[in-house]
Amino acid sequence: MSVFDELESQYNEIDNWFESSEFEAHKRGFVTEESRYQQKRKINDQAYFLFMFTRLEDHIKRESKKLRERNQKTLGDISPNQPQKKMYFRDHLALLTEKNESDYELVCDYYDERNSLAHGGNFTKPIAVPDVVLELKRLYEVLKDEHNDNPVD
Amino acid sequence: MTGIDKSYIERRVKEWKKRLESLYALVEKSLADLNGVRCEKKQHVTMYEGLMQSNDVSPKKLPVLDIYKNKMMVASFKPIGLWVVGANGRIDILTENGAYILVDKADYGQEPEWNVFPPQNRQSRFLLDSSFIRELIEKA
Repeated sequence: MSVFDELESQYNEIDNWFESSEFEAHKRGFVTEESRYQQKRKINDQAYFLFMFTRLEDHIKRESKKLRERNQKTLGDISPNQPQKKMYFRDHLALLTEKNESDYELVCDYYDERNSLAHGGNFTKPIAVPDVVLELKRLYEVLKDEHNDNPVD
Repeated sequence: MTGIDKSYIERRVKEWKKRLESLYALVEKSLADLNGVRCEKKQHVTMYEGLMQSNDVSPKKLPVLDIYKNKMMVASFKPIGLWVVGANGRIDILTENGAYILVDKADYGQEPEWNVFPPQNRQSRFLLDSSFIRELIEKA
């Protein structure tokens, strides 16, 4: 069972619950009510996206720390012994996947959305949650210190 | 973001409307011979996404496709957004049994690749086709 499964299950339960009210309002032509439930689903999408992304974020930082502690890789001017708190998230990520790789770009896209949501950005995007969850699970598996013999979770 | 201006956003919005029209045409064609089934596009949603607002592109109305079976609405295709985290567009199919989430996984300019995430099991996905659409309405 992955760290995302319980959250995913709960997300789906809530989404389908709000959806049934949204569809009922749509059928009856209750436009305001329909918009209200659509908005609730959107906020639910955002909340669970944030919740799940932070699990990947934490995983990336921990894996990056393990890798740096063993001095196996450096990134630009970041020394392996540089305290973790002085590294940006993208620096942690770049230790686990190359900057020009699609996974790097994908995580950065998620990270931008995470920041926009967390800091009250004006233009947050809708989220394709089921697809994002599949990607988060995959990224959790592939973004690892390749020489780590001890599973994290 | 380099290369993104008002005319680019307008092109993308126009292309999104075309994709919706193509999908709705597929739905209507798939259901054409089912007795007691009727498709209707009387309702709309307003598209006014962040990139449209920041590039001074005016809001657009997009049709919602409602499916009736024996005069009862049993499904509704509702556009959610074009610029979506994780996909090149999202549409929800609202039903009594929960939302089927459709996401286009094709890149911009490519043929659409509509992935369906069913409400009963969002961990699974499959490509949208006529047989799925018929089965959805037949079982409703």
